Parts: sequence; structure tokens; C-alpha cells
Amino acid sequence: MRTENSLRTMCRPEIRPSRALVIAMLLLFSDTDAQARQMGQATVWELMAGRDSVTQAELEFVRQLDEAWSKGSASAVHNLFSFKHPQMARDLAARVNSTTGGKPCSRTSKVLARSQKGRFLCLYLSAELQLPGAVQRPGAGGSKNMVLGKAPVQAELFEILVFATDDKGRLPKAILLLETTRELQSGVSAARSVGSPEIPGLPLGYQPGFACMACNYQVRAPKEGNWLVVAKPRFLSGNLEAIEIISLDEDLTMEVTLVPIRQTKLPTELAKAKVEQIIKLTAEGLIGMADRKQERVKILEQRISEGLHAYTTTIQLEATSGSPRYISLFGFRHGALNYILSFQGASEAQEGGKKTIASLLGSFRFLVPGLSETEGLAILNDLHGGGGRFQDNRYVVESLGLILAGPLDWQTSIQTGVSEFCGEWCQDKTGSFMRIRGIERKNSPWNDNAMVDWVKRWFDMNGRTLAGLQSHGKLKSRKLETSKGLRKGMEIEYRYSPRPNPHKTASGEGMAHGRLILIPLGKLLIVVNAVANPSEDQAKVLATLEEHIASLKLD
Amino acid sequence: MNSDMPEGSEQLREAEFRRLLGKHHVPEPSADFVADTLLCIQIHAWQTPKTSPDFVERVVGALAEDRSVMGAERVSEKLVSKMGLMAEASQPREPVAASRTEAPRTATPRTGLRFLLPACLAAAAVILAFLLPSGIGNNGIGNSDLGFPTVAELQDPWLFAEQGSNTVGRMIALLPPERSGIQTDETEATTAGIIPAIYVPPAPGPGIAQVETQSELPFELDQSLGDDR
Repeated sequence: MRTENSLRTMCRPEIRPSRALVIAMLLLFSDTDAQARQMGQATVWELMAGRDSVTQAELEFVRQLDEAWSKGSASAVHNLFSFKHPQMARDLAARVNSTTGGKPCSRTSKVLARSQKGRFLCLYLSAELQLPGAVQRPGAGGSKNMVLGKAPVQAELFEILVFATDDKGRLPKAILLLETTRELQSGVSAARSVGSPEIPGLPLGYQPGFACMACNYQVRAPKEGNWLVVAKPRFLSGNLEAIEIISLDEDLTMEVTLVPIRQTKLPTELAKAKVEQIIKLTAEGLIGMADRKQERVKILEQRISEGLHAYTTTIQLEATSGSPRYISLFGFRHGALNYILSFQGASEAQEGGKKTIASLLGSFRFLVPGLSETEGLAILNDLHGGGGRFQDNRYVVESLGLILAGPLDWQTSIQTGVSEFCGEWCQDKTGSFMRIRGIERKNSPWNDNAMVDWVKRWFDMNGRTLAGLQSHGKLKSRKLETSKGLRKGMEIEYRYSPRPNPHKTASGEGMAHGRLILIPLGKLLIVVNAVANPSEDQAKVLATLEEHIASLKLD
Repeated sequence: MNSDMPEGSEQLREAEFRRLLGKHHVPEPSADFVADTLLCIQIHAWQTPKTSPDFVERVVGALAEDRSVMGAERVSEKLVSKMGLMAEASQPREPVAASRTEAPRTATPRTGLRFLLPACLAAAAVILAFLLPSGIGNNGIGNSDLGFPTVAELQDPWLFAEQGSNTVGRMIALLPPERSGIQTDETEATTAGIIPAIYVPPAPGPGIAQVETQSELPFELDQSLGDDR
């Protein structure tokens, strides 16, 4: 089905037919595990289920882990681990807090499968969390408290637990516990030994790697050493795609993070500068987080090939506790994506890490080299667009029965990122716009509390960029008619000052009027954001957008 | 002398000179020398050994003298092969000797120079970049004069604490989204419609059901909320 979709996309008029054929053939015959996945090959947790028996010591550790997690205490969980990678320790603490709220809950884990490479072993866990739901939340200005989400919350986590056994094969403390999703992790593959077939999902084996046809790349761990490859889901990374390649032998980690371009009318020169900006801001941000400040980030530009430039920098950070760390960033844009490759590790390991880093960098491949931006966008939208597409001015997600029509003469575009899908309408004349997106909460369904928190965070984050952003009226419930009856969601109005350029006096003193509408569909949240910019027709535009939102169709 | 030696004293001297020149044996750099050097400099910049005060001047001077040496193409191609990035299929590539043993054994000094100087050129460029008062791209997002948040503004301890560690990917997720027409005066002149960057927070973890008050909400809640669905 996906192959059909990609072929259909690639035969769209904007792509030259001969070029499309080449891309299609490359995708079809490229040596990626994605092919194996499409052919229905079993993942490692399916293949190994019940084959490699779990020892009593391992089961006892999992029981202790559940017990510590159920206390809602990050430190209790930390006590079970001996971390090599400081950032992984912080990540785990954050996950304990994020999943428990720092309060007691119930966690029960089931070991799905077990795999081993040398003295390292992986347990694949399915952990079920149960949390009481009722919580009081106050509104602005100390207004009356509301009790939201009375129903208990259930969540399921899919995790990979990694141990390093000692010389006698005994089980000391675990070294890593990483959350991912079955779907995403099945993009990782490795052979159990040299020459044996690759198994989808296997994070630890001979040269584990990850490939993504939509994002047009593959990357692989070096032959030497012990490496773990884990795909990080969007809800944890906040990015379209993120892969972590972790050395189990030393404190060295590689992250691949993908940042899609926006469909934009920006001049090419400005668009090209984006990769460099990502590298610069990331480095500055990381320095800002560390104790020791570095005065200036030096970005180097390196021409890789015709039209392909990489930007790179290395920073050294003083950790709050422990030894200094270094982070090297490499960024380049190809097709419709910014590829950010980063390495971080202990500074004392840097000398020995040179060859390893070169090997990791050297394993990076574009599945289809020389992809144009248009071609890249077509493939990305088709394979990572969540099934959303435009039919004239109507945005359609067939699997959800979702249809939203926008104004006829507005520009339409598909955007990719942290959302499962996103369609956008924009009025060139005024910059008024409407977006519909789906945000997945992979490990538990959306509830009132989660939606309130999401809206709060939306205001917190966007309040930094949208001048004078403030809510207009209360966050209230909104009912939408669907083919399966009324669906209840939430709605809030907001205003901000559209400040196109602070160097100039803002044209028109008015405020932009916006609407945020949230509709939960189990683990998916549909968000419609509509904004009418100040203009003579602002009221009319707002009314039109309201009409379109009211006509939203959902199964 | 060889039997096919050309006649005439001028030609003889030239031939003899070339024969002697051919005896000069400048060792070939290993196939990865240039790329390795670049990579090491870039990755571990702080480890670059200290140079003499006039190093840059000397290197640049030497380069200026030999205008025929333009190694940038080869450097970039070797870096491509080092990084494993596949160059565009249509781009012609210079064949690279598979190993040191297959490299010409009687390279002239000039040939050796041609291989070595690109490395010097790259090293000089890197060092010059360090010496320059400002790096590339100090404008753009992150510049509060243009209405973008500064990095300090982006660092929200609560957000980090709740969302996770400061891995690189998470920092990238906090960067301002790309805008579709708010960068410069030129852009504004050509784009009437402005769409602002809008952050899209990821879904909160299930534990949010347990969190009562992280901070005050920036909006009021209507009484119509609060029912279970």
C-alpha cells in the first residue's frame, strides 16, 4: 500500500516522469529493512517471544523496577541502574516524572522477549500503568478549581531494558531503559551475527541500523564494539524523527534528528541558511544549559558536493556533576529535510572516539541521492503525512473519515513535523490561515487534563514569539457533529499582535483573532487553529473560518 | 641516458632535469589523509595543535605563489567519501588510488605538493575561520532584534525537567519553527501575507493526570468542562 502511494506521489506532474521512475526503482530495490517490514517479517520481540527464556534474576529485576516506578520516585528507579550515559539518566528521570506525575501509581511489566549479544542483553517490556485520574486545577487569577479527568488513566509503555552482565554472567545493575514504539522500532534492524539475516526491531546485534524511506536515509552502527539503536517517538523527541545510536562500551552517543522544511515562498538563500541556524541555536542552547559558558559558537561550513553544504561545530560542556562532555553537531539539508547528526560523550573519550565518529558519519547514506526539494516533499508528505491530502480546497484523512474544507481561493499545503498529519490554508493577501493537525499520545488516550495541559503549554511556548498573546474568554467545551453522534472537545479564543517586523511600525493596530479547537479521538487529538489577521475583512474572514470549522466531518 | 633522448643541448638539459626530478620521491599521502585531517580538526577543534604566530601568513603566502593548486574540489570529494554521503550521480569524480601501493612511485615534487597543499589550504581556512571576529550566520533566528526568542528565552527549566533531558534532539525541538515570511525586510516586501511560527507542543505523558498545579493556567476554565467522556 505504501509502495503504491509512493509511486502515485512520484508520478504527480511536478516530478519529471523519468526522475520519478528512478526514485521509485531505488526505493523498491534499496536494501532497507523497511522492505522486510513490508513483506511481513516478524520483529525481534515476536520472533524471540518464549524462545530465549528469561532468568529468575531478570524477572526479579523487572519486579523491582515496577515497584520503584510505582512509587513515582525517579531516584528509586535510578538506584537500580548504573548509567554510562548521563543524558540517559536524566531522560529516564524525566520519563518517571512524566508518566507518574511524581505520585504513586501502579506499574506492571510483562517481558515480551529477550535477546543477547555477548555480555549485553535486552529485555523487551510492555509496561501497563494505572493512575487515578481526578485532579483539581485552578484557572487564571485563582478562579474556581475544576476537577478534570475523573476516570482512572491507563497507559502502556513499550520499553527496551539493557543489562551488562559481569564476567561470570551474573546480572548486575541495568544500564539503560529506553521507551520507543513497536511501529517505530521495527524500522531498526540488525543481524544476530555476521552473515545471518537481519531481524527487524533488533536494537543490539551485528551493526544495528535504521532506515527510513520517507526521510530518505539510512545509518548504521560500526562493526566493532557493542551498539544499541533505538528509534525515539515523536511524543518523546518533539521532532519528526529521531534515532539514537548508543555505544554500550563507552559514553558515546550519536543522535540523528530530522527537521522538515516548511513549504515556503522564502528566497532560496534564506532557506539555505536554516541548517546553519539550527546548528548555531542548538549549540548555543546546549551551552546555555551547561555550567560553563562558551563565549561564541563557531560554525564551519563545508561544501560536500554540488548544492550540498554541511555546517558543523563542536562544543565542550562542563557537566553539573561528573566529567566535561563534548558535543559535535553536523547539519546539512537535502531534499525537504534538514539532517542534524550529533555526537556527545565524555571528553576523555574523545581521542579514541575519532575513528568511531568517522565510522558513524561514514555509515550515513541517502537512499536516493540528489533528491530535489519538490521530490523530497512529495515523498515526505506521502509517507510521513499521516494519510492527509488535499482534494482541491478540502483536506481529507480517509482513515478517520476527516474532511475539512477551507476557503476556495486560499493557498493549501501539507506540513510534516511532530504532528501525525497537518493541512494548512493560507490567504496570501492578509496572512490569515487555518491549520488542522493530529497529535498522537501514543501511550494513553487524551483526556481533559491532558488537553488542558497541552493548551497551557501552547500558550506558554507561543507567548514567547507571538507579541501580546492572550486568551480571549475561557477554555470551554465544544460539541461537533459526527457520523457517530456528537463529539465533545474544547475551544478557546486568543489574540495577539501580528508583528511582521519590529523595525517597522506595525501596519494596522488591530490584533489577530485566533481559535483553537481540540477534539480527542482516543489517542489522537485533532487540533484546528484558525487565525484572521487584522484587515478590513477581518470579521468576514473570521466568520468564514468559523463556518468551515463547523462543517468539519469526522467518523 | 635513454636512447630516445632528444637531440640539442637545451633539450638535453631539460631531459636530464626531468630525469633527476623524477628521482625525487615524495611519499604519497594516505588516501584518507585530507579527509581525516579535516574531520579531526572539525570534530575536535579544541585539540588543534598550537601553530606558530606566522603560520597562517606562511600558508596563505605559499598558496598565493602556487596559483595552480586548487584543491577544494578534491577536499570536498574526499570529505564526501569520508562522511559517506553519496554525491549526485551525475557529478564526475576523480578516480582515487585504491591503496598506497597502487599510487605512483615516482611522483614529482609538484605532484606531491598538489596533494599536500589542499590540506594546508583547508587547515588555513579552518584556522582563519577561528580567527575571524564573527562566525558565519550570526544573524537570523535567535536574534531578538528581529523578534525571535533568544536562547535564554527558550530555556524553560520546567519544560526541560518535565519533558526530559537536554539531549540534542530535544534542544532542536525547542528551536523556533521555520517561518514562511518574517525573516527580513526583503521578505516582507515580497510577501504580503505573514504566517507566524506556531509551536506545537508534543502530547503530555500520562502522569499529567496526577499533576495538580505546576503553575497558574494562562486562561480560565469554563464550567462546561470537567465531565468524563
